[in-house]
Amino acid sequence: MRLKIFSFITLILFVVLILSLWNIQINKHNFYKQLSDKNRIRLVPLPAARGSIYDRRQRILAEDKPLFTLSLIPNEFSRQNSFAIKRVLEKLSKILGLSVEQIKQRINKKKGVPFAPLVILGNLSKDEAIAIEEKNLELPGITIQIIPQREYPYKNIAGHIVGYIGRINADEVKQKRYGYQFQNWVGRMGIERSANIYLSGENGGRQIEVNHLGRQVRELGIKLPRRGEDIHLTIDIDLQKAAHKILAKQGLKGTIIVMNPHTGGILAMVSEPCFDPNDFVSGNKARITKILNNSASPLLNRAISGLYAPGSVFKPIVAIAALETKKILPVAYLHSPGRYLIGNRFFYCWKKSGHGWLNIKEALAYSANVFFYKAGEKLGVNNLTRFALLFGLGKKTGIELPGEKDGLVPNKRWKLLNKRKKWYKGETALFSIGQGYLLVTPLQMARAISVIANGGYLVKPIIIRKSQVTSHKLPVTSYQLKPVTRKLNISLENINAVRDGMVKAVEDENGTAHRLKINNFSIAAKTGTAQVKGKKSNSWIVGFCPVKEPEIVFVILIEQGGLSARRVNIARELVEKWREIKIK
Amino acid sequence: MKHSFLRRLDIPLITVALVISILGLFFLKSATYTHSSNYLIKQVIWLILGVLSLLSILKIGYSRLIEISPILYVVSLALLILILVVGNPRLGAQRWLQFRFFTFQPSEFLKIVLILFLSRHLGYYSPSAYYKRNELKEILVCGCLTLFPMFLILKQPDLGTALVLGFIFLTIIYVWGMKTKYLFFMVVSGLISLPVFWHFLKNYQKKRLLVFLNPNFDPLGAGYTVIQSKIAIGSGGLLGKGWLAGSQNQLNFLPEHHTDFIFSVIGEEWGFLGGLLIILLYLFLILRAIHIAALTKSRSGKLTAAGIAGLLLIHIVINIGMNIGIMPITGLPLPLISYGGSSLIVIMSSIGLLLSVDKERRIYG
Repeated sequence: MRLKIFSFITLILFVVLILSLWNIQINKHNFYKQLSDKNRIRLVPLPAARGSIYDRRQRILAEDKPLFTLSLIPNEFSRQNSFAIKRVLEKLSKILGLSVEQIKQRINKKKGVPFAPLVILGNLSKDEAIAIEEKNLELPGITIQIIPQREYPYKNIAGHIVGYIGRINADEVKQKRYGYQFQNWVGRMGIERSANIYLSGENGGRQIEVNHLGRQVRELGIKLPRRGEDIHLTIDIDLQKAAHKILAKQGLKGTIIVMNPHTGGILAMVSEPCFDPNDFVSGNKARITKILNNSASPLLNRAISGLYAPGSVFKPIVAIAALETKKILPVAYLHSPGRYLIGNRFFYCWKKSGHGWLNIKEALAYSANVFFYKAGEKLGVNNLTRFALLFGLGKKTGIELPGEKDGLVPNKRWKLLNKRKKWYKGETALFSIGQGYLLVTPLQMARAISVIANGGYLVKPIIIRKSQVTSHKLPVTSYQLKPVTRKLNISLENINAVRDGMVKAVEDENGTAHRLKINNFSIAAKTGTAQVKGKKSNSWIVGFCPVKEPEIVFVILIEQGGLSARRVNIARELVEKWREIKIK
Repeated sequence: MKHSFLRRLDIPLITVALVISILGLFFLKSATYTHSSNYLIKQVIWLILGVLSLLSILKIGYSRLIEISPILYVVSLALLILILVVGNPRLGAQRWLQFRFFTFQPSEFLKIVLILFLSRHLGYYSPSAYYKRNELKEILVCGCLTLFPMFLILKQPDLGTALVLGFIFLTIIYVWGMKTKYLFFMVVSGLISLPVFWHFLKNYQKKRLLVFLNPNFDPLGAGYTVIQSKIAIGSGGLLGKGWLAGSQNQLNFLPEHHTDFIFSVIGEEWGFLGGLLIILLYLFLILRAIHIAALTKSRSGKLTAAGIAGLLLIHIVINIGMNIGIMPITGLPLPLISYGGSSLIVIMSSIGLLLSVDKERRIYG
């Protein structure tokens, strides 16, 4: 009984619903139809331009350029009679220089939803855009949209540093609940990513009232977009280009870093193979898949994300450790034959006949392995670890680029935890010539060599020189970034001893980096040939110049470059290019 | 085996429920067309989860769920209290528990749990087995069991769900057979206490109620939604503007048009005929639930089915009512159609309960 009453109540409620629906949709249909037609307040987005990225001499590395697109709003366009449509098409064809048929084809090819604007032409010239905008009233259903388009004029030369931008995912931003959805871009790599909050401005919008053809009748409100801040880099694009060419012309895989040893400012940072960030912005699918599928991984910034055994370029640090702990005195001579027995295994020098009796400077100049096996034996693994860490190896440098790797400085505990074995003496020997478990990034190496160049300061590598706000109202404000350095507790005397060794490597006829010798110009350098299991060795050349007052530190790494002494001319070319650019 | 399984299943009921959900996907597609396709994909996943939970409830059987309903009740209350303490204040209201991949709305689940718990409590005896005094006592106990979660949910604040719980309570005690004079007394005292209740409302809730009385009270704020929704539905006319072609919907004049105001999308794009179709499908669902309640001999099964009929009825009447401007905005979803995982799964589960009640009736008579 009660359930019957319940059914009855349900029925009554539903009849009320249906009658109310009838009342609104059928009785008052005309009234609401009118309101809906008049409902013409729209939000037109005004996208903010992204800040530009400059090099140290105000050359543009990335900027937003206006892109004019011709769009058609199907609902408003097809509302006209066929005669009017024909006239609109004729006018368009006159301005654009396309035949009516061609335009018709473009429109028919893109069928969509009545209210979503269809892009008919992707990039109009400025004149065409103005011509169409002027005839606005004669062209119903046709609109011009101005969209900022990111451009990287130096293409693949600084791709890893500058990075690229991509469209934001719906998940990444809190959905805008009302009004128009903005097409937002966000930095995906490099500076574009790490400085995204500075570079991206604030979108604005206009609230307008439109007539039945969708044309603006009046403006109700406007919020101007705020342009993003500009970023100035420490990079010198000329040097960057030169470094890129040096590697690219020989088709080498690897990286070149040029850094100011006092401020840590990066002058050039090249990683080969490279990519063109414009491909990602234009959404060229074929090229993007080509980049992504390339087994040489062009997206990898080898300077900060590549991990390599440093090989002999680690020796200067071992030398400083030995001098600082007084295990080897600057005046002491050690015998350095062609091989050395540790435990029950022989460890060899790269030179079979050995080097005879050497002091520490000569050992560095000729890169005598046995000398450093002995030094490592005296130091022990704990001291090696301590000094490697002191020079900033095995941890991120903190440069303002995403994707930096830590590397690895091994110690006894690490070995026990990860390999479940105790530390062997032979491993100390390998450690002391920069092989074994030790892994560093080229940028860490640049930082470590800077300590020798600047007389004992650990600098933080920086790539952003300053950021700048340009606005109509406020005066130009800029934030200069100050160098971050930390004085290490190392005596200048010992640093000078190692420095002399590195100079000798260039000056001495038998020095490993003798091919780097340039008359009337002093350079300190160290080469390294780091063995890789199952592959050709990686070649390293590190150094700085001029020796008296160092202006640059350079680090060159060639993947599978073979014997490093043969690659020294790359460093020579780099230093010569740097001197040319400096004079300019 | 399979044949007998199907024979014990109320095929028309489950068919209509699935038809409504699938139509709902079409409306959701249209409502989120200019935003993103993520909504549709998520809703499909939830629909699948909903069907799975329907099947598992059918497998477990409603009587076993009624047995463990006190535990479920306590757990839901604990979750509600947890929300008040650590909840995520989204949209000014704390209704969700945020997990790693999804948000979870315990107040939705409480709707079913309350139905089960009240059915269990009142299912032992018929009212005639009680004397006057005891009857009142039972009502008092049930009232407290309802009021406590209602209070917690109001605190969130979620006026709509609190109303749903109250309506479920009234439906169940009415069907149980409580004397009409008590029922009348309760409704009247509820109405009298409204002014007191008013003080507990948040400002935006007060505004919504005032707007209901006069939509032009705040035409750009709370009234905006109602006005735009009415314009959308009214301009749809008899046949509608066509799928994906509603200007109100596609140009985003309508806020929340993928959740609470999805009926306005139906009205605008599919017209009166589309709206009528949906309303009639819902009517079938509710009448079927009452039908099952009438046929079932088991008292707790009868109360469960009736409670679910009440649950569906209040949601549908309030949601469609607020879309066409004859009910205040209270934020209740349209069952099986509005975007939202918790609601979809809960409604699918309650359909599962109905099927289970019906199945046991068919087996045991």
